[in-house]
Amino acid sequence: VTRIAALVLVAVAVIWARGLGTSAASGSAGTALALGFALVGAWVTGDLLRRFHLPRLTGYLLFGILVGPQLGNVITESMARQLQVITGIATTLIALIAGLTLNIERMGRRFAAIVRMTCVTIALAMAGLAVLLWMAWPWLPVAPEATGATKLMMLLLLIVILVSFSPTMTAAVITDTGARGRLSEIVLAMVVLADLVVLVLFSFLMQIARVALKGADGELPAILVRFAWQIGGAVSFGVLVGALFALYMRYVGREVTLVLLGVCTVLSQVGSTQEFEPLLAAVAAGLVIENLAVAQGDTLRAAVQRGAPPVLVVFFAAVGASLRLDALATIGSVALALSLARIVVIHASLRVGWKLTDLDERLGKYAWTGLVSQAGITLGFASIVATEYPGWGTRIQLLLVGLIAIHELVGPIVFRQGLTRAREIDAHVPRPLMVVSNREPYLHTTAADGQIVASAATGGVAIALDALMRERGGVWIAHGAGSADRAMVDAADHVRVPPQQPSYTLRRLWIEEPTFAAYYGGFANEGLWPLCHVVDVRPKFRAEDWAAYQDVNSRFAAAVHTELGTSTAPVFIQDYHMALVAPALRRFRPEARTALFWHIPWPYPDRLRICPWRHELLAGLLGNDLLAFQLERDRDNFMRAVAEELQTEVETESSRVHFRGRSTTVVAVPIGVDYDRIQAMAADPALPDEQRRLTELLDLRAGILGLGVDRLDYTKGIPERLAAIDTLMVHRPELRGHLTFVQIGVPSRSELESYAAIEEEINQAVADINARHAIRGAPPVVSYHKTALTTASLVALYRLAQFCIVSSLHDGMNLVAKEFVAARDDEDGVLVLSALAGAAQELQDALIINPYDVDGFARALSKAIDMPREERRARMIAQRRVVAGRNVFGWASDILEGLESLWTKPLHYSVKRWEDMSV
Amino acid sequence: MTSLQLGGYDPLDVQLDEAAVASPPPRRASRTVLARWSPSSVPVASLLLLGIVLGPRGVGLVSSGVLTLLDPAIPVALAALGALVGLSLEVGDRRVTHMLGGALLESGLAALLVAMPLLLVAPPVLIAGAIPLWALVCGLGVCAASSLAVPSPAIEAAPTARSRMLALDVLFPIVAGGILLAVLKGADLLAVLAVISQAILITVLLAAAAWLLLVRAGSDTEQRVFAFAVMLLIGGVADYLALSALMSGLVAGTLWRFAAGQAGDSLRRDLLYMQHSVLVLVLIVAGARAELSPTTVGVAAVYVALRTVAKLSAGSLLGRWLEPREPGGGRYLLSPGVFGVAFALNLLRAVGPDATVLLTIVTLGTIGSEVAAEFGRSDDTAPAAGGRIVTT
Repeated sequence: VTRIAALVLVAVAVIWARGLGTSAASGSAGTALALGFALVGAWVTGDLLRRFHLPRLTGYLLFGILVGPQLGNVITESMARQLQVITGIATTLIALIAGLTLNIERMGRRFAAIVRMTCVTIALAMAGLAVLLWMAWPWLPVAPEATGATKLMMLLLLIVILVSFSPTMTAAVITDTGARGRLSEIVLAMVVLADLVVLVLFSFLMQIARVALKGADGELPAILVRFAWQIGGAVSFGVLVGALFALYMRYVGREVTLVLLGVCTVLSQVGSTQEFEPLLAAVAAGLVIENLAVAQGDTLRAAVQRGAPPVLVVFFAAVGASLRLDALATIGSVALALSLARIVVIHASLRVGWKLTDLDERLGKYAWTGLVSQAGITLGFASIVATEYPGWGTRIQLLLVGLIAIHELVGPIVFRQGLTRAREIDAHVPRPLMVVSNREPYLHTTAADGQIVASAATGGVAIALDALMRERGGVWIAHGAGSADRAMVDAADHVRVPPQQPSYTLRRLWIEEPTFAAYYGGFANEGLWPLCHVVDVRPKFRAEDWAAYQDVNSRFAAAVHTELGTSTAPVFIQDYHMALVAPALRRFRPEARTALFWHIPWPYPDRLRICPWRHELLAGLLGNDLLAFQLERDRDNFMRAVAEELQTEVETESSRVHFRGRSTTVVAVPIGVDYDRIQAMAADPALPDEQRRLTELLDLRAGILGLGVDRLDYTKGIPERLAAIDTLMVHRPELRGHLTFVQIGVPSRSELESYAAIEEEINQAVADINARHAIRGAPPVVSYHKTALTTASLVALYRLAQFCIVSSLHDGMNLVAKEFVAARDDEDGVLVLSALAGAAQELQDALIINPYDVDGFARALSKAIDMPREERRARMIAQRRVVAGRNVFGWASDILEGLESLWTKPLHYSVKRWEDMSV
Repeated sequence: MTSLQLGGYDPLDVQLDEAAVASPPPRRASRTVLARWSPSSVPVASLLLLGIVLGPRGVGLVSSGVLTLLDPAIPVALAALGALVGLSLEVGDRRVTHMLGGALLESGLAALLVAMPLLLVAPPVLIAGAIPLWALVCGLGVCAASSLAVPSPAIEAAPTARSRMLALDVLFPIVAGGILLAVLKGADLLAVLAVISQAILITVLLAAAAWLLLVRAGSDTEQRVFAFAVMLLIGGVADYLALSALMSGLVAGTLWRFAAGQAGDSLRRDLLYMQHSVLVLVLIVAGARAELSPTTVGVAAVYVALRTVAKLSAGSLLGRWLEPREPGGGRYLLSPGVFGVAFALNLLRAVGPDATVLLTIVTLGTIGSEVAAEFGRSDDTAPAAGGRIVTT
């Protein structure tokens, strides 16, 4: 209502001004007034129609018709003529946008197939329409009397315009429906490409038409030379303008919107004066900027988004205002018939074109539905023909406006139907997934009584991925490490899991010794682990370990290839054990879509140089389509390493790396915990019983309870933590007998020297502290337990503790910190967190410590013990907000959705960004 | 100080503000002044010269055809400039009202001091056209009266008396120019009043429509489209009626400043985004439209001399008016800014080619005045901050 009121005010103002009569000296007085009125009115009308799920462009045209000289006469005949100044700029702008839409790299590996299919479809559709229209020519309201070359040219121009499509309408339907799948991807790519082909064809035909219909002086060779000049000149001029514009944006970069409109004006004006085809020049300029000046392309797109809507909206309204309503009324039935013929011919042509590719035959049945819509580009062609050939050209324009109205209304409905039938809209359609990890989600072991027992992995990531696999189905490939694993698999090494409710397949891979020891214990855990964690343990790189690592990764890749079969499921690879899986997989199937999540930190470039096979490692990781790290810091380190070590092209803005003809997107996606599950455990009525059990079992009688939960690893800073507790007890002896620090330390990789050493060091430190500070009969200062606890028991412990210590010397994230916070729905407890753990980047309301500063660490512990309830509560609320907002399922879906949309998203966005412009 | 964000500070902001208002280096011997003179230190003059060079009488890149194509954009650009002035107005404070009086007096006096001698001398070149001599000299007086470069956000410091004065002394030329254009329509006083009041009412309607549209704008794109459309309408109405687009813009801008709240802020933001393009357009077109001849160059030289004397005298008088008293006389008012050229273009657009002589004189006079101002600049002649009309 507000907008309509505004529009009424504007209309009153315009009519009032017109009533006063023009007294301007210039003939163009009134142009700005007409432009302003058309812009406001068309925009408001387009917006109004959109609310009724009708296309905006129809609103723009409708407004032009309503206020134009034929009907409302608010825009008079002379004003309507003045509005035509915009036509040249607008059509050039549309062509430039079309050029900017086509990024060859984004088209990806299917580029060749889609090009082939598009060209065949367009050629056949044109041929079919040519036959039909040739026969129906006498009944078409264009020029029934035309014969020979004239008729042929008219026919060809009409046909070319008829096979144009609307990329923005296609993108809009995909966005609105949330469709996801191959059909959406292929259709979108096809309409973008088809419009480019049509644009070029149209430009060629217009040049030929000028020769054929307007007459050309001279002999045939001269005509051909001139023709070559017109086409070649247009392309060269476009390339030159595109290059100059890119340079301008790079080195000046100011007033880009104004310069853009100036460039469009120049292209249309110089095109006319030099007999270039402006559309061809504009497409060439757009293509150059988009494909050769990527960073400048982004700047230009931003400028287009600012400058183009007013120009295009006025253009559409001007077309509406120039239409002859009486003639429009007569072409209704012809337009309907022509529309049907177009759809039938395109449908048949596409089926043939589809058969020539190896694309899924099932989808071919529905692809035509995405080729019905027509909008701005079609209208632009029609306007050019009408401007150049006011007689029959205007009649063609009229016919096409009728067709656009039909296709704009019908196209989205039909396409939506097609997407539904192709099962790309239904959210319940399963989308299988393939996960690759070293550790398996379910382990089968033989119990003491001889029975085979299945136990699920307890880590947060394993639980999240397991939940995801249960929902989506698919295959999880992992190393079979359980003592009874072989007994449970079938001939293909498959076992359906989870055991209680099988919903996906676990494929077990057998890695024999000593290969496993060299791959896992050697290269992964003695090489990569200390390389990536900045601690005082020297990485060990041995050639035999590297060979085993390569071998095992290749075997995982072969297994992925086998399991994928004909499926195109995305492959989600886990962690530093699998850095070379993607390139090995690409040798079998180059089109596989893979993402790898690197759970641990990525070292800075200088440290990476320790690794003799860093180039192979980096190149291997760049075999993935998507590479995800925990933190921005890790992502930055990786990008710097790639730039320094591989000297390859790195796109900082879009965070993409181009290497060996491939493109990898590198992102930071911090991992979270299963917040809801932990919350549910914390609220479980059985929790108090578990707490009582643990209190007795672990001798937790002290009034103050601290907690540390870690895998026994030298990166976790456990000796530093114990040193801080020792210092605390020295400074605050009154805490003796009143404080117990519970350390849960689960041994891991004990066969490695460095791990055995840290276990020994911790044992000794615990014994020393208890000997020094324990009071006879009172609870111990440190209660140290090496048994792994269930998640429920851990939650019970988290809720008992007054404070929890995470003192990693370097850590990718550390989920214990987040689990502790998730468990504290009583909004109490203090998290003492190392600044060197990734979690510190997010949990800034924790008590942040430096584990190397033992005195400062001890002071922080003292502060944690004395912290008033209100402060504890305030800090915990803030931390819980962070943890709740970033759970492990969000993490997984962020990565997978990122991977699944990598191919379509850039193209989709590059088209969708023009949605306001309806091109 | 500078940022490359869209709509943010820009070398043009800085240069224009430096030329007009920012603290210049201490005064030196004229040789040193000559040495530091560069096109970027006098951006208005540079762009006008660029227009002359590129125009139909220069290399012809901005040909007559291109100028015709750009014609409808001129009133829109002028309306945007006027609106920016209105959107940046500051009132309410008694001191500001006092300064407004001073500014009106200063610019009125400067206009009179330029127009009167020209009327008495009556150069033949001014008599040749169909426009009455009195109208042309009044036009020249109006063009000479302002000193504001551009309402710019480049200097965000607190306003000084000088920056406020620069901001306010543009009001008289815009209003007087608007009345002059209405009078030129040739009717009697009543008809003139009727035309002006109707044009103002139409502008008020459009300003209200803009407020209604912007208050409900759903996206940045939509906001920009509405802001642009409204400027097209306001400039378009003025153009259609052959009235002052600058004054229409001023009226709309003032309404938005005091009645539109957040919608006014978003309009201001969008206009500031456009302002560099607008300035470049106005100055290049003005340069390209100029028709140089020995006579016009001669009259322009006289214009520069008269303007310099007028501004110094009026500024000196103004210095006594201001509290605390401003040192340095009226030297900080010497820089001609862009509004003189803008009004000359407005006149050309409204009355046709007969006003070309005025545009040429003002274009050349602006170039000369800017160079003269560059020579006249010293530490104490520029306000510490504020080339813009500061809003609070």
